[in-house]
This record gives sequence, structure tokens and C-alpha cells, in this order.
Amino acid sequence: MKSKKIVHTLVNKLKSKFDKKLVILLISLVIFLPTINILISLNTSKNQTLGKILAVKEITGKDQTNESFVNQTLKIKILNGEFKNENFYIKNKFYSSQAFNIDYDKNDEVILNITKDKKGTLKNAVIKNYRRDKYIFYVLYLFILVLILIGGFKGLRSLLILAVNIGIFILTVKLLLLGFNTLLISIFMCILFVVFSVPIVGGINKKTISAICSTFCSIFFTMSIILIVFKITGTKEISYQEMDYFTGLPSTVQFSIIDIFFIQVLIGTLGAVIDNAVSIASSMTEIYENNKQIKTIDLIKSGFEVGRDMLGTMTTTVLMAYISGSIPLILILLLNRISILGIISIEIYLEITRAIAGSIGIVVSIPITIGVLTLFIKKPSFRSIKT
Amino acid sequence: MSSNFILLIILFILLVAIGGKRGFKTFISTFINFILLFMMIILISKKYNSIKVTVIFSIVIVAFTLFFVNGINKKTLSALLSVSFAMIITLLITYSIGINAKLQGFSQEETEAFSHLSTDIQLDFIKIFTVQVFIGLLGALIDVSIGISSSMNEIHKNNPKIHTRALITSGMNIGKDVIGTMTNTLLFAFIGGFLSLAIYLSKFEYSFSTLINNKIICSEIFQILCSGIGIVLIVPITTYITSKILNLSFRKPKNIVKKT
Repeated sequence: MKSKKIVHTLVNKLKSKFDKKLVILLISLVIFLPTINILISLNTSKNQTLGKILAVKEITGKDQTNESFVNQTLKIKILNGEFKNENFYIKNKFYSSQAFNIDYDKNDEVILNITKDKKGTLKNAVIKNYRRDKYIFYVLYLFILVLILIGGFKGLRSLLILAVNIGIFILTVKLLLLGFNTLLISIFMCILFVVFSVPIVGGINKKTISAICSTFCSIFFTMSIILIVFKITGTKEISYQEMDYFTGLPSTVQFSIIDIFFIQVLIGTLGAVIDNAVSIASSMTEIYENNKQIKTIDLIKSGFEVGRDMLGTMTTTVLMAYISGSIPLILILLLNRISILGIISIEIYLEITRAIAGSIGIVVSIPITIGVLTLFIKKPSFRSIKT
Repeated sequence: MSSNFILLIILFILLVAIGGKRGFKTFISTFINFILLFMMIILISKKYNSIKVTVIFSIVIVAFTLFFVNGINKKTLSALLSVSFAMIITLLITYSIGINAKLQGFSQEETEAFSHLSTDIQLDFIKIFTVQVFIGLLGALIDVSIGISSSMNEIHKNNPKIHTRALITSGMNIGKDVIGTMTNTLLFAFIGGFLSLAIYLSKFEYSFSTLINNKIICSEIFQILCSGIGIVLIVPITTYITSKILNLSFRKPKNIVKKT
């Protein structure tokens, strides 16, 4: 009897969860995503020479520092191109930590660099890279699947925002390389990010317009603080950051390492501020909708309550997101006996600046968002805009 | 005087001025979280098991962040449970795919910066990559979790007789809204650090197929996607756990009434 009831409840749950639209969406997904996968695979096969590892012979050893390493002899079969189906051998050495090299296994696929000799026959082949595109695709598939199963259509819209933002980012990189004025690019990028991210989920109404306005104000305020501080204390520490990346750039570029540093701080701060402004604006709108007679002073107080509640977790989010990327670097530095103080004040300088800047942005956006939203809701001249 | 130090002071002033007592608590808790993170990294560098260290320290960080600023109550307890649960699932997913995609360690581009450092380190970098992805995600998980459990608690407070199914639906609705903004925030955080690398890579004019197999690009994409999966998963987990915890306290008054 009990099992019958459980099955009945489960079937009901499934029926209510998956309405027709969602089923259509899932089916189209199952058709659409594998197509993308096949397209990407085809592209890789067309442009790169692929190889498959048929056998691995290993000899382990230890070097002077007692770190163990493995010398591998890999038998590789070429999968496409001119020399398809030819076999040859490549040597590979890796340390057990695999911090800088890779342990290849049987059936792994790799990308090869082929060199031919004068007669056109295969002279040498080197592993250029490990083949990763299919794994990235698996994770992407899993992400989209989970997003739509749990998030439904809202999840799909989030995916759209992600794609749009990545597109804006790529556009920014291209513009920077083309040599346009760095400040103009930054402002343009900001506007694009905010204007696209905010309305996609909420539509265009008082809530989102005030969120957009307060985001711009908060960003302006925060970046001004940061630029002024750096102007006073000087920027020599920044030039040390990632300077290897900035050699050999085309002569059209107008930016310096310092410009890029600030743009990176800006992007990070933008994310935190948009999130916070939208959250506060949403909550305050909900409060107002539930009680349209609410006094202005009470509305403002509620806004501050909501903002202060979110403060702790938002700053933690920002801190963890930025520090996480530096974990491997910090580990190598620690193991090379670089002092903790040295790490914080020199090596991860950019990350710490971004964390502090993001936090300042979050704090500053609280009163600004409350002020702008109250203005929109309470002032007669703004009431004409639809809710 | 270092710019970061001055900015830190400005942050403190703003937190106290705008955030009041909670702002002050936030500053302390963020500072302590930073120290805890560093302690965790130092322990990993001393060759303790990286996954075990991460799990323990993550639970400490989550518990501290929640309890210190918001107190110990139903909301924070359910958030703590949900994050711990989601943590295990995310770690499993990240590790199993990461190990296949061979994303650990540093790439060719980054290695040049280390030419003056010794590379013999005897640490398992596959595990460290998993740790990296997870820590980046942890803050967002706490945020989403407490947001949902807090709102569900409010709804339950305003309407104690609410049906469990309705409560769960509300929780899921709130969660769906948050997923969008949170994945966005993480995206901004991760690509912010990626800009200089993107500029560097562009000068080589790599083809699409080269870029999509490149270790650094793949690990960035991977980190963003895994974080996204974690955020999506914690929504139903939190909703379910919160509804169970709220129902436990809901049943008590009924029993007391029956006894008299």
C-alpha cells in the first residue's frame, strides 16, 4: 500500500514538474548539444593532427631532491591527416606532482605537431597539447542540463546572460588590441555589461532602471576612490604584475600594464555591484508591493536591513572567488620559502586589490541603490514609469 | 604606504558607517576568513591531505561566516548542512572530470613566470585544482544558501500553516532568481583575472581548435562551468533541507496542544 502511494506521489511530482514547454526544451537540447559537440570535434580534426596513445611503457625514478618522476615511452597512432594510421614513439617525462607536465595514459588523445623532411615523409612528431575539447563539452552539457532541469526557463535566461557577457568580454579584448582609447573602452564595456545583464531577467521597469542607475553611480564612486588612492601612493607595484604577458604586443595598442590592472579591478567590481544592486532593488520593490502605504522612512530602513544582511555573504563570495585562482601560485611560492608577507604584498597584489575594490563597491551600492529606488518609488515625477 | 593598505582602511570606514554593527562584524569575519584560507593553504603546502584539509576548513569557514554574522538558528543551520552536502557532490564532479581533462598545474605560458622557482614540489596538483575550483565557489554557495533559507523562513513565519509543497515551490522560485545573478557574479570574478592572459594569447593568433584545447583556457572555462553546476545544485538541496528543518519545528506546537 505504502509503495503504491510513493509511486503515485512521484508520478504526480514528475507530471507537475515537467510541463509541455519544458519537455520540448529538453528534447531540443538533446538534439542541439550533440550537434555542437560534433561540429567542434570536426573542426579540431580538420585543423589539427590528432594522435591516439596505444601503449605506455613507464620507468620510475627519483631525482636528487627525492621527487619521483616517470619516464614514459608512448606508442602513438596518428588518427588523421597525411600520415593517418602511422605509428611512432614519443618520450615523455613527468614529475609525480604534475604541476608542469602530464601523465599520459593508454587511449588518451593528443594533438601533434608534425615535421616533415625534404622528401615529404614523416620526420618527427611532438605532442603539442592534450586533447581537451570533448571534456569541456561534457562539463558544458552537464551544466546546461542541470540548469534547465532545476532552473527551467529562468535558467535558460541565465545562460543567455552568461553567453552575452562572455561576448562583451571578447569584444573588449579585441577593441583594446585595436588601439582605441582605454578609458572610452572601459566606459563602453561597463555600459554594455550593465545594460544587458540587468534587464534580461527583470525586464524594463522601475526596479531594473533604478538598479542600472545605482550600479553606474556605485561603480563611478568606487573606481574614483581606487584611482585616487593609487594616484597618491604610486603604481610601481602594479608594473611587476604579469609583466611577461605584455611583451611583443602590436604597436597599435594604447594601453599599459597599469590600464589593464584597473580594467581587471573594474570588471570584478562590476559583477559584485550589479548583483547587490539588483538584489536590494528587488527586495525593496517586494516590500513596497506588499504595502503601498509604507512610509518613506520605513522603506529606507527596510532597505538598509536587507543590504546589511547581504553584506557578509557578498564580501565572502568576492574574497573566495579571487583568492581561489591564486592557490596554486601561493603553494609554489610557499614551497620555495617565499614569506607570507612577500606573497601578500607583491605576488597576489592584484587579487587583493580586486577583493577590496569589490567589497567597497558592495558597501557603497547599498545606500546608493536605496536612495535611487526610493526616489523612483516615492517621487511623483518618477511614478509615471511603470512598475 | 601600500595602496592596498589604504584601501583596506577606507573599506573599514565605509563598512562601519554604512553597515553599522553588522558592517563591523563583516569586516572582522572577512579578515578571519582570509586568515583561515591562508592557514588552509599553508597546511596543504606542508603536505597534509589536500582534500581533507579543504573539507574541514571549508566547514569551519562556512560555519563561522554564518554563525558569527547571523547567529545560530534554523536558517544558518540549514544553510550549513546544504553547503556541506553540495560541497561533497561538487568535489566529486570536479575531481572526476578534471582528472580526465588533465587541467592540473600550470601551463606553458605561466611556467615562464616561474623560471626562478624550483618546480619540484611533491604535491598532487590534480587535487589542488579541485580545491581551487571548490574554494572559488564556496562563497557563492553560502550566499545562495542563506538567501533561500532566510526567505523561506520569512514566508514560513508569516504563514505557519503553509503546505510543504508550497513552501518548497517558493524556495525553488527564489533560488531560480538567484542562480542567474550569482553565476554572473562568479563569471565577472573569474574573467576579471583572465584579461591579461587573453591579451597575451591574442598575439599568437591561435586557431579556435588550438584555443579550445589550451590548458589555461580550458581550466578557466572548467572553473566557471563547475561553479555554475554547484550553484544550480545547491538550490534544490537548500530548499529541501530547509523545508525539513522548518517542518520539524512546525510539528512541535501541534503535539503540545494535543497533550493538554
